[in-house]
Amino acid sequence: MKSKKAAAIVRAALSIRKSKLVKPRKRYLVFEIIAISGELSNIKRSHVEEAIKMRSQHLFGFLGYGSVRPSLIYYDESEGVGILGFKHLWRNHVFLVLSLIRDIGGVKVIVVPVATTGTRRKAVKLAKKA
Amino acid sequence: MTADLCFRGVVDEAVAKHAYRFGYRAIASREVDSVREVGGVRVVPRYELSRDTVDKHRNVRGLKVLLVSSGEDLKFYPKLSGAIDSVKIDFTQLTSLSKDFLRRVIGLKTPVEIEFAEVLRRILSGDSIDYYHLLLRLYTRGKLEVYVCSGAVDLPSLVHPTAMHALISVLGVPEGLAAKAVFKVPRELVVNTV
Repeated sequence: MKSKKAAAIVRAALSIRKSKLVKPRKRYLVFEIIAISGELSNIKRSHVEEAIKMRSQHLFGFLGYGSVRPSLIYYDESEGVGILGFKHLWRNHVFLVLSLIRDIGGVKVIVVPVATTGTRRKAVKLAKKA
Repeated sequence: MTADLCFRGVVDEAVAKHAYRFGYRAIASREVDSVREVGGVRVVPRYELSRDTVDKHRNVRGLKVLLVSSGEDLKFYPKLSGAIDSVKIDFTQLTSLSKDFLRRVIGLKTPVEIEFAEVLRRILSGDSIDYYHLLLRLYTRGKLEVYVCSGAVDLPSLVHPTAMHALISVLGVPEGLAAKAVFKVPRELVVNTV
C-alpha cells in the first residue's frame, strides 16, 4: 500500500500519467438527410454509403478511414433517415464527415445528426420516430 | 441560444428555418444593418472593420469584428478596447506570426474568430493549419478566447453546431472548451453587443 502511494507521488511529481486503456464502445448515430434541390427518393442506400466512404477517405485518408470506418446500418429511402454505426472514439470524426456531405447522387443535401445512442434498438426506434 | 456569427449570405426564410432546426437562435450577417427577426432567428448586423474604420463605428449597434492582416493593425491595442467585439486574423495575408503579434492579440482580451469553412478548406486543399493549431493551443491554455462560426454563404453550406464542435475537438481542444467556443462565447457576444 505504502509503495503504491509512493509511486503515485513520484508519478505526479514527474507528471507521468498512467496510460488508461479505453475499450472502444459501439455507438449509433441517427441522422436525417434534407434535400435542398431534387427528390429525396432519388437517393439510394448505396449512394449514401458511397458518399460517407468518399468523404471519410478524403478527410482522413485510407488509414484514417480504416480506423473510423463508419457503417451504414439502416437507411429509409422514403424518409431520408439513417443509422450510422461507429466506435465511440471516433464520434467527432463521424460528425465532421457528415458535415462535409453536400451532394448525394446528384441531389443537393444537408445531413443533420439527430441523436447518438448506445444500442441499435434505441437507434431504430429514434429513426422511425424522426 | 446558439449563434452563428459569420454567415456570409442573405438570411431568408429558408435559411432561417433550417438554422432554427439546427439550433441557431441568432445569426450575424453583413447583409443587414439593423437587428431583425426572421423565422424565429434573430439576425444581427456584422461589421468587418479595418483599423482605420474602427473609430467611425464606435457607436454602431451590432457585432464589430476587427480584420487583422499584419502586426501594424494591432498597434496601440489598448485604444481598441470597447470599440470592437472580436478579432479575425487573416492568415492568408499574415506573413509571419511573431511573439509580439501574439502578445498584442492576447492583450486585446477580445475573442478571436475561427471560421469553420476556412479551416476545412485549408485542410482539404492541403494548406497548413499551423496558425489555427497555435490559436487553439493558446485557447486551451486559457491565454485567449476563441469562438467558432460557420462561414457559410448559402443554405447548402450551413453547418450544424456539432460539426464545428467536432472540428476543434479533432484539432486537440478538450470537449468542454470546444463546447464553450461553439455555444457559450458566441451567445455572450450576441447578448452583450445587441
